[in-house]
Amino acid sequence: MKGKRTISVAMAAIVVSGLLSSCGQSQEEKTGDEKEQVTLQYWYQGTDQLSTEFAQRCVESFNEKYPDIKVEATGMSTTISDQETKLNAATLSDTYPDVIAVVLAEVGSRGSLGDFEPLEPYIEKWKEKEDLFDSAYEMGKYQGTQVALGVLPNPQIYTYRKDVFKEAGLDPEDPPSTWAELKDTAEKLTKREGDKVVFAGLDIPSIDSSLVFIEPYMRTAGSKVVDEEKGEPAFTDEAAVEALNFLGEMAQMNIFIPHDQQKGEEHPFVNGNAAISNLSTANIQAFRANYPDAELGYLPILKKDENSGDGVCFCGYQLIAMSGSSKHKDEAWLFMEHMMSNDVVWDRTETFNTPIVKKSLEDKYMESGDKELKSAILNYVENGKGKATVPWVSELNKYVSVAYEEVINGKKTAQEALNDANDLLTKEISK
Amino acid sequence: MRRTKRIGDDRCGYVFIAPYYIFFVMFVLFPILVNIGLSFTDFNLKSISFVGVENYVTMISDSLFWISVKNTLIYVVFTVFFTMVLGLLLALALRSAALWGTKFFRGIIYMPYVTSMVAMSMVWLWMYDPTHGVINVLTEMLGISAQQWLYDEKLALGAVIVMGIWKGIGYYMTLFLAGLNNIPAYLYEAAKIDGANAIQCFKHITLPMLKPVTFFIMITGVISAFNVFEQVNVMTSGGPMNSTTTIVHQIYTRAFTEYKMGYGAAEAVFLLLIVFVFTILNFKYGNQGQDLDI
Amino acid sequence: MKKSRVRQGLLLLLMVFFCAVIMLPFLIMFFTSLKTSSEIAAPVFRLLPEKWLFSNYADAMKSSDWGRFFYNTFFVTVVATGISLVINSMAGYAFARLNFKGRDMLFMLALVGMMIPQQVTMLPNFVAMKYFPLAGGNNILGQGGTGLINTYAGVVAPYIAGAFGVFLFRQFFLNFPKALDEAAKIDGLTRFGTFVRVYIPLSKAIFATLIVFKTTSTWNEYTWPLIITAKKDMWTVQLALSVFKEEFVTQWNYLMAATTLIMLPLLVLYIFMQKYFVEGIVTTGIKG
Repeated sequence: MKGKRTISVAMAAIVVSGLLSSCGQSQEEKTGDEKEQVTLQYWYQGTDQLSTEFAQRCVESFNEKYPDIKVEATGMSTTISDQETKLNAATLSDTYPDVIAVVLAEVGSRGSLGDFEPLEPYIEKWKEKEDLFDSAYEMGKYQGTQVALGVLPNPQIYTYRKDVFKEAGLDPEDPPSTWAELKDTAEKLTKREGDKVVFAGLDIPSIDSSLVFIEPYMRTAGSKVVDEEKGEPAFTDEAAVEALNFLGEMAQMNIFIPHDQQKGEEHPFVNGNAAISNLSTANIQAFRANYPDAELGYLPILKKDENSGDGVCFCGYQLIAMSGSSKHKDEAWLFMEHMMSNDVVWDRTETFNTPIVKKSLEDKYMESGDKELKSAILNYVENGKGKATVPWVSELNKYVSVAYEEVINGKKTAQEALNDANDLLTKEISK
Repeated sequence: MRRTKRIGDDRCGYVFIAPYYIFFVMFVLFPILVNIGLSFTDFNLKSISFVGVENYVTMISDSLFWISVKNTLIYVVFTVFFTMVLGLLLALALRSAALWGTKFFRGIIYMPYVTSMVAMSMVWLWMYDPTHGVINVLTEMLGISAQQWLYDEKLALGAVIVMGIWKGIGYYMTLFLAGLNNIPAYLYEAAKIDGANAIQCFKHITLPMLKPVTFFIMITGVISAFNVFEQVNVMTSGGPMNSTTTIVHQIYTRAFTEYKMGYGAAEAVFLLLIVFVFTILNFKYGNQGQDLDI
Repeated sequence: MKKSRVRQGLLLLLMVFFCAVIMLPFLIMFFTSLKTSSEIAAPVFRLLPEKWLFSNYADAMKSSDWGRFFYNTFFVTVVATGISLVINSMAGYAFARLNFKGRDMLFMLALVGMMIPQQVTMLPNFVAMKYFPLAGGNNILGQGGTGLINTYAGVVAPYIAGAFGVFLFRQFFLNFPKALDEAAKIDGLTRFGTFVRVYIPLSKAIFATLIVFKTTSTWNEYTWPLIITAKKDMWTVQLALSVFKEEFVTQWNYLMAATTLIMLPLLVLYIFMQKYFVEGIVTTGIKG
């Protein structure tokens, strides 16, 4: 009998203590009595050590300037699905942060939800407005309205292995600059065992769900991909078909190792299994650390052929935006201004090894470090195009990426695949 | 019905279920009702209006959704079937005699069930790697040429299923093992005296006696297989060519990345209905129809 | 005699082979956790590390406030499991043994809780947490504060609503001889008395079973804590794994080391509970 009672008492204790302690542990503090102090919520990209420490430094230096404004910085997981989940929850419960770092795709998708405050009135009064890169403004526009400002360009740079070029008897200082040359070179660099590619000439993704790999080819050929003014898809033109055809041909040549473009570190290049790849600066840096002996070079932005105009590459951006529902918009802008100040921009460049966004820092940037890489970076940033800022970016990605998969697997011709994608997409967005 | 007559009316039953039911109503029933309500609207985080059954009509012509239904059904059938068979065989092997290290083997087979999928999905990605992945190395040793597993539309769903089986096998095995341990030894002794061989014993004693455990496994296994999402999201994101997209993956894509909350809700209602029907059928036929009075 | 020994040997061999297959991903995980990042990035995959870098474990744990994350997870898991045990066993008993109007309907409805994917319930739940009356600065109408967001109560509450435990207990109790109830009645025990004094003492095994299952699922939960916690000091270990993932580069060795450590408590619990656990499932779902 005693044992039974002990059990029931213990159980009751567990329940009661559990409820009490969990209710008592509320981490939020009331901010009722200090009316002077304003607290801003700032959500940044990344929960890793580097990002966290950087955000902390920014908050500290901001507090030196404005002791009355408190900033609470919170890191978001960089997995895009996690981020969307978190932001949806915040939208529904009115807990959106005052200032938020977003990626380019979110300018369109979340911009269409009206998440962000138009920034023009604030930029008007900003002393340094002339100093910011044009692309940093350009990227942050949703249907003509400035809803975000670019802080961190993230170009996808076509990187190649000079040492591998030499080994294959190719001139490492004369890399391919047109599609035809790329195709040729890639074929020459590929190593196979039977049918299996063991060293890829070029990293061609099997899955490219955000179109980072595909879109530049379409744009280079002259397609708009999306007509942003009309808000319509525009990827069934001749140029887009030609681009997709070209990618399909390359894929059929069996010169690549299948991988997923989204998973940057899964690129065969990063594991030393490919000669040419489009990589983010972070991937290049990681590769350098793991392969100190490999010599790297950077392709010029690829043109369709000798006679065609300049090519287009992909340049993603991380941006900073203000919530439309913020209760402290003036203070939020002060913090944004701080995040765009030269000190912070430079710190960001050094911390993440990324390009700058301020004109006045250009010389300082070029002077330090690897000149070849830096000029490639600036070139890619200047000629880069990011994602279209339309509300249906997710749907566009979904259908066009399937069209791409159908073409590289030889299921459909480029024309058929794109037409089908267009039909499905149009049907869906017309609702 | 028998039970109802034998014990009278126990009103205090409500008191017993109340603590659980309060949580259930708040955190499960309420969201489900919200969800059913939303499925008749065009809610997109920004605006909401009533659209009647439009979402359900859209669903009928949504080819992507039906692909996901097909994929999910394939996933459910294959994972549940193979995990059950393997789980049962392992359970039989691990108790057939005082085999050395039973506990140790059991622990190992159970291990995949306690791991979270975040890191494990990455390990599986490495294993499925088309060039240097372990699985290709092994298949090449067996004389089968290297495959592109996750990047081949014919193989990708199979690759995801294999991982699902790996994950669930320990859970199934443990349950079967327990079920086997529960079969009284005298039944086998009696059968032996009657001259039954091993196969007859298995057919006439083991299988029927395992029925209740099988029933429990069927219900919980089918439900969790229908809800497969995590490994798909991490490993293939539904590709290539939508060959691995599942119902929950569709719900997720629609509601969370395209903000079509209303439409996602309608898909969720559909999923709930299928699973519910499966479960009812299970109760009616899987349990000899004598469990529930509904 | 000889024949059976050969068979035993074969069986043993087969088991060893099978376990090796099952273990393979774990071996890869473990050996990766001991490698340097350049070994992981090597062109050809090798199972064994060149040098066994156990220091990766220390480095991984030093990278962030892992003590706090383990504490949070431990606390949340213990509370969720503790409460579940009590309320699930009560409900399971009622559904199995008590007769009241609408019992089977109510049970079926509870089972629906197992059928709905979490992706569907989490947003309504999150909103409900925000507007939870009288918590986190909210007034009685749920306005003004942040409710249960970023609190332990907020993390735990939905875990308790799962129906798995109720189902498990019900199947288990269905199996008890009815004579128990009648004997208890003769002894003058109330329903509650019967449950506490007769049923619970006989259910050690099933409690162990649920402890293992519930602990595992709560410990490994990812999406709900992701949205309900707002500050790092409330993170669970699963969320904390993201500290090793930068936007384009992941520190796989640390991630695998941390994952191995996160798994260990669950494995120890399983080994410790195994004996009750197997016994527990023995009778589950078996009815006369």
